[in-house]
Amino acid sequence: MAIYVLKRLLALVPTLFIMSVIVFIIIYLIPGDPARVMLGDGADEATIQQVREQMGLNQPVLPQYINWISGALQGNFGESYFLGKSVMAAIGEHAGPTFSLAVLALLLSLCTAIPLGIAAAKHQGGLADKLLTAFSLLGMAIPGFLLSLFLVLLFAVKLKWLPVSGYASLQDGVWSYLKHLILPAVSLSPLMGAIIARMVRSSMLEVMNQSYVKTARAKGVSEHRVIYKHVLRNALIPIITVTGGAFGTLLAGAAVIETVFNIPGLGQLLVHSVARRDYAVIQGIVLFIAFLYVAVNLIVDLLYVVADPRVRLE
Amino acid sequence: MNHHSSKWTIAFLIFVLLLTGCSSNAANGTNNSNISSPGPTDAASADANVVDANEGKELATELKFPLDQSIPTLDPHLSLGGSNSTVVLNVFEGLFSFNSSYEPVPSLAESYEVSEDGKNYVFHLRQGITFHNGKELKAEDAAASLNRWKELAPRAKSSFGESEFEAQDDYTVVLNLNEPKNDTLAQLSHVLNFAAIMPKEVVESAGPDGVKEYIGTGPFKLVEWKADQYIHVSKFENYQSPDGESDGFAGKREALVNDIYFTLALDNATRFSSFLAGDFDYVDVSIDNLPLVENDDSIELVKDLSTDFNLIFNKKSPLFSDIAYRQAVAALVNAEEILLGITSTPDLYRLNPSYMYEENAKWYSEAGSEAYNQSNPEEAKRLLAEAGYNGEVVRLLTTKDTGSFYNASLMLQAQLEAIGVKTQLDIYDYATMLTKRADATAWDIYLGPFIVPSTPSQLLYLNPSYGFAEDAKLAELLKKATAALTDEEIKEANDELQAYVWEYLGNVKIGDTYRYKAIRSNLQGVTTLYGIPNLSNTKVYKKS
Repeated sequence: MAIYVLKRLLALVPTLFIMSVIVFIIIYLIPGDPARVMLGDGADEATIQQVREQMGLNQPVLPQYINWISGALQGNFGESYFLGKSVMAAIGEHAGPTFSLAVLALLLSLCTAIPLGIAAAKHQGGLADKLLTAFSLLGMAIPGFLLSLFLVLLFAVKLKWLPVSGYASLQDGVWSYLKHLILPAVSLSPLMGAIIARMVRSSMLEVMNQSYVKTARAKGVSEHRVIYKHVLRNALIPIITVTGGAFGTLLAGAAVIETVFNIPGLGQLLVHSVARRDYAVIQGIVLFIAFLYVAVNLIVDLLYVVADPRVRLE
Repeated sequence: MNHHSSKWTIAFLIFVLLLTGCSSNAANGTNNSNISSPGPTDAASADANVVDANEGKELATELKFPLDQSIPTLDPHLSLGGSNSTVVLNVFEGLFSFNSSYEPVPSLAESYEVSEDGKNYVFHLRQGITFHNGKELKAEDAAASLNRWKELAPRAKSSFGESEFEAQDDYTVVLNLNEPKNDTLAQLSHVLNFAAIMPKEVVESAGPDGVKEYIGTGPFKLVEWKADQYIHVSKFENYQSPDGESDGFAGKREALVNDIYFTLALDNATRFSSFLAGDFDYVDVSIDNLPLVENDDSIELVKDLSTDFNLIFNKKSPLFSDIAYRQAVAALVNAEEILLGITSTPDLYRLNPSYMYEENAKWYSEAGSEAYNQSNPEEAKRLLAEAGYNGEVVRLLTTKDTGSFYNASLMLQAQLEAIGVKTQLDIYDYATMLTKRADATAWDIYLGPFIVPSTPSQLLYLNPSYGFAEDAKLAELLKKATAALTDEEIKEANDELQAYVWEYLGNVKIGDTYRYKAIRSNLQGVTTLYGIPNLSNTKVYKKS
């Protein structure tokens, strides 16, 4: 298994290299100029050109890329033009809020989706099933930003139970940390919850028709044990896949929700960096997100072994 | 059974690792407490019980103030952004500041003398002023700062040219100009590309992307700048205010709170919700949100004169390099319709043919105003036919990122299309738009808001770098208006310049716009100039 993990991690190298080339080319094809953004509306051309020269922006693309990649190979992903710190430091600072939000949103989704999915599968065509259909349609139809505005209006502006926006770290106390994350996590969770719940339902229904389930029931195994031990366990693989994908998407930065709730996460950093053409930071975040995706997929693959002993990772 | 439970244990361990990874990341990322929410609610409880003698109400020691634009740099000499000035003007001071009539009033300068020919200025600094780092302000600091500012601020560069500021002794700075400049003090007072005085060492160690430290002499000193999140400034205990009554940014200034957190809240809805929830006591109000605050007794609604709107022609474009096309568009423009499109209500604009606000008595001029707001499509059609218009596409450069650019362009597009002009809206993000606008081949017309300066020499669009206004007569008249010495000479030269601006038609003035600001009654003493709030002299009462 160690060899498998190592192989997967090595396969990451060409992926990241190709990503870096593509991102670099895209960044340099889009117009816009960090010097112009920094100097603002109305700056004169001579000053802009002087600042561009000093920032190294007037070099051709290839030397700039070679410069960057040789730094990156030594662990130096460059300096932000605007943040006054290295790209790695900026990503490290903004990853915390994004991770926290993603984990909480995922937990909320799982806590609602799994019981709902199981209930719907158990009572196919019944009330629980209909409720699940309604819930999942609604979850997929409501845009997160719209839901977030309603939630803010109710829980922050009217009832004043939770803050409108912002982020507090764990050091500020668990409650302060959680209360800043509840509304954004609730806004993010319906979509994922809906997808996971539908997957739980369909995957369980498929397993329920298998003959070993009938055998178990015929042996007189309790219904509870049939559902949780035989059906859910065997239905886990697609559920894990969907959950992993959803978690990856969340880690990639829920840019809109982070903007609405003013959470200093990766999504917000990426949006700001694109707006002001902070090239090194854009490049760093995109590569970091690519790495996270691969890492999450690797963890998902490892979890397959846990869920199903028949799976062998070679 | 054992085998199975060990696998579940592994699964559980992976999950726990993931979680702890997240929380340790969270911890690493936020070694400053309250990463983006600097004590909105906790602040009040930490306040000392200070009671205002006059009102008998308890004063808060902290103010949380929203910023609606991100700040690329806090270097006062570099940036032209309004958000930047909101912070910078509390931290830094210049030799002069504007009062509410846009007149320069000595600030770090105690007095000044100007020679009869208007070429030689002597500035005497106030003595005993200290920077936030404890160093005393000397003339060498002022000269170093102003010489750097002069190179970085386009308006200063074009005004002062090669002339340098020199320290004559510890408290005297001199400026010897080659020709008289009546706008010298106004240039030193202007709030954008602010002529801030910093220690000489800070100026000398500045890189291309700005100074490394933000040290001024203002009533507040910078404590922390958390990029994209907040800027924390605190009261500077050794601050020495200029004398005189507070007026605009001039006169007595006093820090009446211990801490200000300028908090970035870019999303309009979030910013407004935060105000409603009580996190902010000051916010800009859009027309659709107006009903939520206008009948609330605890909220004061003020109308803030914020920008003037202009249509800028690309004087190098195939069509608009020809003045006949510019005249046709000027004849067509229905300014009122465009202003209504921008503001959605007649309450938030006023028609104004001048490049200056009428509040600026010295430079306001209605010369040439017959060309303003003509709204005459027939005349426009006639002029176009005469110019030989043959269905060429007019490219309107705009952005949806910020402000009212897009709405204004839409309104003009409708007016152009109505007389049979083919148009194309080129919509870009703000950064791309800035780059495109510098490219003479990329656009024909651009509509945008401008912060109105105090003298014509500070008008961006009379400058060749903005829409390529390269006209010898315009430059000559601008020079003449700036060189005039007496009030009569200034008035005459200014009328001549304003009339020529309407004749040359490098731009077409649309009008002045206002913004609504909501101020909760526990926040007192906020004044604004150029739409930029002055937070010294601002008191915050605790909410009951």
